[in-house]
Amino acid sequence: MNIKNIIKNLKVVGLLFVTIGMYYSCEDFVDEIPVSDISPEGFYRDNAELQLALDGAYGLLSQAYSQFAINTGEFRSDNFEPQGSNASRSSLHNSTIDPGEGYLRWANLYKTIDAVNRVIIAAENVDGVDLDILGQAHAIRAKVYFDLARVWENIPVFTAPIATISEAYQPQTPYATVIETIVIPDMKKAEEFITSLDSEITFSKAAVYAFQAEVYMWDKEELLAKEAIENLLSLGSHSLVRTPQDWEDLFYNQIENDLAPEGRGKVQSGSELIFSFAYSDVNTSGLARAYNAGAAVSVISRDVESKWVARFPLDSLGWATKYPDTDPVFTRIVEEPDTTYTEPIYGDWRHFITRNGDEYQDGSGSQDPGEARCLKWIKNRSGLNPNMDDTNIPVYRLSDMILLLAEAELKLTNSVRSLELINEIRTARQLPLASEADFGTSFDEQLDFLLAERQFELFGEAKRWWDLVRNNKAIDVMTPILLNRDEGAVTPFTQDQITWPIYIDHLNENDLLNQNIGWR
Amino acid sequence: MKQKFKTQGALSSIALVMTILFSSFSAINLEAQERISGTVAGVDGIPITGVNVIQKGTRKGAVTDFDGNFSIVLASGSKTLVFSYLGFQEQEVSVENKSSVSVTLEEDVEGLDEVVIIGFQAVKREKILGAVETIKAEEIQKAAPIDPLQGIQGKLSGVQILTNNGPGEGFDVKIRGISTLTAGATGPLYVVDGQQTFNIDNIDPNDIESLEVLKDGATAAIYGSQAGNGVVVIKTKSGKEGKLRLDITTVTGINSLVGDLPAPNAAQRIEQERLQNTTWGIGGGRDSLSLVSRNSYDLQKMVTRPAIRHQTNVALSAGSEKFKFYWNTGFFNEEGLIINSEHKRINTRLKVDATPNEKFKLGTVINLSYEYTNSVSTGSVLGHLLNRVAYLPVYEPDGSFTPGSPNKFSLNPIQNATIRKNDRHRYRGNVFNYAQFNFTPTLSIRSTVGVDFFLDRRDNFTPAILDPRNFANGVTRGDQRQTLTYQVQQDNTLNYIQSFGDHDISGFAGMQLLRRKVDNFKYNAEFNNDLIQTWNNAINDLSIDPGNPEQNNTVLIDTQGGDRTQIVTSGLFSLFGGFNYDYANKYLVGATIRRDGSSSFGSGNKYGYFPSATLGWRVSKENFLKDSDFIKNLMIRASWGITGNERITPYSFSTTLGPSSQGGFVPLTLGNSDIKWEESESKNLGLELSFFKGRRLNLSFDLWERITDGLLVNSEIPEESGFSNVRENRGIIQNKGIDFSIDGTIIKNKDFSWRAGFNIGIIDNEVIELSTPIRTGRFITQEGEPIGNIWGYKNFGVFQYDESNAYTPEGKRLFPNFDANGFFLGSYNRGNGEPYPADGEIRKLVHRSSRNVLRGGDYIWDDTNNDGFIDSDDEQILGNGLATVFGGFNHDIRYKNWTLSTSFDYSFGNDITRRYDHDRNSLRASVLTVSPDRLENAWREQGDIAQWPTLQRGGARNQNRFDFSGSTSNSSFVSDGSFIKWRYVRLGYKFPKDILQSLDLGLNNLSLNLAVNNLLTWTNYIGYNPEFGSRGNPLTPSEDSLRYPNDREFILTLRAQF
Repeated sequence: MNIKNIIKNLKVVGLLFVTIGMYYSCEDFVDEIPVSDISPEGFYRDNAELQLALDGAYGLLSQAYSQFAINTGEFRSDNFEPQGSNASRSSLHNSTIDPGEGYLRWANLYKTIDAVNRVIIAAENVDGVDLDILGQAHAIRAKVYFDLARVWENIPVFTAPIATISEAYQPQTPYATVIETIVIPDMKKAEEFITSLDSEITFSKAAVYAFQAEVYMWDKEELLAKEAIENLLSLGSHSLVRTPQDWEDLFYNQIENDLAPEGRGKVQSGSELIFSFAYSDVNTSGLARAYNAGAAVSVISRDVESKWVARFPLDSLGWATKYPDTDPVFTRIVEEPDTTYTEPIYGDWRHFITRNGDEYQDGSGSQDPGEARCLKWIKNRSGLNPNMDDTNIPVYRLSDMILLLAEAELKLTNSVRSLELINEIRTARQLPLASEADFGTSFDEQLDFLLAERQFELFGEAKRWWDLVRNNKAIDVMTPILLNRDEGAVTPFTQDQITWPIYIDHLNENDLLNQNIGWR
Repeated sequence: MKQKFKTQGALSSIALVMTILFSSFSAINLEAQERISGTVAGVDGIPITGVNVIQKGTRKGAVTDFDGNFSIVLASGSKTLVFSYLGFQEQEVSVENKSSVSVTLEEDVEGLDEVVIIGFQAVKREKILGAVETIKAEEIQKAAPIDPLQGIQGKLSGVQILTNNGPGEGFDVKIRGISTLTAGATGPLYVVDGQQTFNIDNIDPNDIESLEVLKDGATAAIYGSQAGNGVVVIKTKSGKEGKLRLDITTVTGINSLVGDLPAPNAAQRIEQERLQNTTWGIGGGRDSLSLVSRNSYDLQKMVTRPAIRHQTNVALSAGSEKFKFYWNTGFFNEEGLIINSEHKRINTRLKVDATPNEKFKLGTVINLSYEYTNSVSTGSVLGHLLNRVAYLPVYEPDGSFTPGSPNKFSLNPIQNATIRKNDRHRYRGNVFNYAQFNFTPTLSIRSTVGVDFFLDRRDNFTPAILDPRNFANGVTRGDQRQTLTYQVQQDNTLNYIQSFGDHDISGFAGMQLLRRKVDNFKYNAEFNNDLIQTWNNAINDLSIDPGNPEQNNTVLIDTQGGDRTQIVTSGLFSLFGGFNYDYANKYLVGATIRRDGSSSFGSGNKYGYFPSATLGWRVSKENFLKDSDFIKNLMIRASWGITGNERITPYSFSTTLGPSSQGGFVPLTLGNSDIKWEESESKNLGLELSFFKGRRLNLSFDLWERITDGLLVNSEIPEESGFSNVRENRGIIQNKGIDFSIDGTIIKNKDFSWRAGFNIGIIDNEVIELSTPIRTGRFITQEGEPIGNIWGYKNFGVFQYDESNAYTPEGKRLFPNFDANGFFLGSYNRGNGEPYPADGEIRKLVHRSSRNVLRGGDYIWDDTNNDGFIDSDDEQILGNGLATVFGGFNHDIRYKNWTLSTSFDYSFGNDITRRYDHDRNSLRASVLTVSPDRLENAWREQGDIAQWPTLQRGGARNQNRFDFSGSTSNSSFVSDGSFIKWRYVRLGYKFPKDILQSLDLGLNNLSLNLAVNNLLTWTNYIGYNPEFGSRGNPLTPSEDSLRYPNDREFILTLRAQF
């Protein structure tokens, strides 16, 4: 081969290298940035992006409370009793919770906190920041920390996203510090910043007042709670609904199907709703899973049913004896061979709506006590796929606030006002008024009477357990019930076990955490 | 046969160059000339074409012609001729006082003279200093495989190849154990003719000429960060010099089920309902004469079938000195053992090599393939086949399917196998080009460009009647997932090779660029009806204007199914180099280094270095062994090397945010800017020994250790942080072991030969450091233990009586005393007859979450912490899912034109958790039917000594079923997974030349093989098959959630060569 040929070939090889070199330099090769995601550095730059982040946080909030709200607010109380064979659910009803139960995970609550922390911190650097967004972020953070502390007492606290992995390992902050340094200041900032008065599925000014009332009542600051509720009332943004139909519509979510040909779909609206966790078929609610899905595992307890019936008798004699002056709302037409007549339907129609069975206008239905499930939201809904349950979970309703105010007044030794407030609800519900005799004379009688009113009005809305704990009644109420549970007595829980156990994996992952005393 | 040992032209020319170089440094004497002629043939008497004949110590040489004849004019000097030919042992023949010689060359089974390209440089196989295993085309062909890795199980010591079961599911390959915890990253790197990939499913096994497994870190280190799990180098067939050749192969096989599982019949189901007193079904005894209760089906028989396989290959090849090509087109269609499942592949591979002149060489490989897999969802078919309510009908009187009951219980397996669509289409194209320029015979440069394009599309369709909620209100759904991967690879390598007398030296340096993009797109939708299963029948987006033709057919993307786009790109930039040196093939030394830069790591950690060093001492070349007739080869070799692993999701170094399906943007992943390479340090000490003339008996022994540091773990972090995990480097895994293989030709003569081989690999795996254990389903990985521990509750059987649940306060078990009538006497003994004090405290085991006290007929759970409560603190290690000893043995017997080959492989030391069995026997739902064994041997009444607990369900018996729901295992469902498999036996017949000539069809070769694959399995395992891969997940080996069943295949292969 001659020199020319060699040079020619060299040129070819050289060209190959040059061509490749033109396309890539080596640094290009090792620097790749995400295509389908973005990094935090390129986000949170203006109000539009903050709003996007806040929307995301609301999604996380709903997700976090999807099952948590009802698990923590209902199942350990006397509202329900176990039926069937779901060991996990039964252990909730019996307060014999294994710290390995997956529903004790707090991951989604803290995800929500991380999401709003990022909004709160980024807002400092956004010019002309929309304070309403910032206020809502504070409200979400306060609400989540309050519930974390209410459930587990001492909890780790994060007020900024972690920058290094080691920052993920935090010890528990004492309960009181959480309330004083996070919940209350955030709650006040929310009040200060939020401008919208009334928006059901995001935090409005009204929702913040309702939340304040909840926190202050829990914190035994009845005066402050009273003030918050009065602030809420003075907004004039909400009012009690006054018909059974409107009350049902606060919850109603019944798709049209063979069993419910007149199903009106998701209604869930009304002037009483202050704040609800919103769900869709993407971000699904835990309501159906808690109360309706699959075989019955939790049924309305016989105790609460008999208590309800005792207060609002189902028979004419009982009713007439108790409420001689008030007729029930509904009547039914009875057809007999030679005559047709109308008879009143005795009892509390809220009771009929709450339990499963026939239409509430027709009475309490055929299910025996101890068999009925809570179908307040999705009455008769069959073929329901819990993965598509879009039922909102109400967090604050006006009737809840009015009855909470009644509790504050009672504790502030204003029992007359308290009874008035109870009857304000009874009036709106077209039910006979409670007399002073019904209400009782001692503080304890009055409180029990009031708590039962709350129990009936707010059944299934994740309030009862907190009512019991707030009033230091959890042990008194639950001990006889638990000792009576079938299949042998259940060991009642102790004072230390009112606080929930921390999920075992959380303890395994973070050595700085200690299991709550009652569950060690 | 001999043809197969020929290497491609490129390699033989390098060999030739080397041979010439060798001779060129020798002294030459000019003396009188003398002519010698002769013939060269193989042991079988067939002449060999192309044998190099060189007068020893001179440049004089000749090449045999088509009939094996040669003629050479000798120069003065040594009167010895050296005959060499690839694939045969070099032979020296003295021609003193001869004018003609007849030489018989012996096959070189080990291929020692062959030059292989490993890690960018050509190495003589004999001089490889690492632990490398080789499989030749002939071995691969024996099992008539569909997949390159099929049928070589048990042939490579230290390499475990486990089928993932089912048509088109591929294999799990573990080279010397598991050294990574990243799912999907346990398989080796494949280098196919220089092109790097992690998936070779599309390669037709008929295209493979040889497959080399680089087991040790030093040999693999040149592939740096890709080589952490070992490297498999594949050389495909090339055209050979000679006339046009046509090879046609057809394979026909028939598959059938081996060993079915015990499934309950109707009578057993009814008995279960009677015992459980369930209100579900008819077992309440409402009508004992009902015809429904007479229904009984052998569903396993109905859902399986004898499955046919067809495979055809047509390969055309030819070559001249300057141009060679090989073009193979293959087609196969394999029916699955389960009805309505199949796997098809069409592939074509063209390889062209051109040598326009001495200096220049270039070529290309183009491989195109299409694969279609129609699979079954094993859960709804196999799972429900075992646990459904056995008397439910399968067909309606009109012949249509009886639907399953709503809410996913008791599906109709035949219906599910038949009408559910699980399609997978894989389109793949590879192109790989190279150009080599030889500046001088010793210095060359090689540039390559490769593109790998891969579209993997999965198409699922569920008719309304299969809607799990309710078949009356069912919704038709479809989903599709497309993964488009493309990779561009560019290498430039400079090679230098030189010999100075006894000194051989070679060196190389180069660079590599790799860029990869993975584009994932998944979407779901509801369909209008079942009639058309393509997306034009999907429900349209109502917000789109149907009058606008451009917007027509805009599908309502259904976010519930998790539609998602995920595009990731990654790049790798590498520089590498190395050298080899040996003195007289006696003292050998080599080293390499590679520097990799990867886009998967943050700015501070992008670059990593991967060095290696090797040493060898060929003791047999020393004077004291040189002339031994017994020991023909003895080499001691040692190697050390670092390899890496970077197969993680790119961008793990950065926190990411993205859209949430619930609206808005949310933080998605937590970044860790500190992550860096996973690094494995490997050491290997090897010994190679060959005995007798012709190296009839060969032994290889390797002692190895690999320590992997900085494992790329997706660590769980405290969820309080807002994130549940983060990628970090954490923990150390040590693998160490022994590979041993022995093979020998026991008998060898013209008519009869018998060759046998045996190998064994022993592996010890231990997690040396891991700060917090990693729990993955029913498995746990923790410090001080091997990977793959099965985690759950252990039981010691079943309490005989209610009173049997009795322990001392310290947790020692007590035994109640009974009289002859089974009447409890109120006292206990300690088990050895020693009475327990009447006033002694008795503690009873309590199931914590239900607070139930265990009774007769309940599991005797192991209360590991002796606190009297059975709860999550009592979970323990129940076994380990990784085999510790595996290997195989095989025989090849040839008698005249007949061959008989057989291969066995074995695997010992692992346990399997039978998740499917645990599920059906968990009593988690009354519609689940328990296994016949569970039913027959269940505790029924006080005093029963039973293997299984009571069938009574409900809250009172939560203690017998909480174990399944908590994603834990139960010792009753953990069994030994050891097995020995008789992988295949093959009988072959090669038609004699004279018959072929008399046929006058132009046939050069015709052979017929009859093979049986998966003949027998010796195992104590009771599932379908103890052999199954973990589909790339290192943390959950040996979890049997019902894989595609075991099959036995009869195969007839016809090969014709024109």
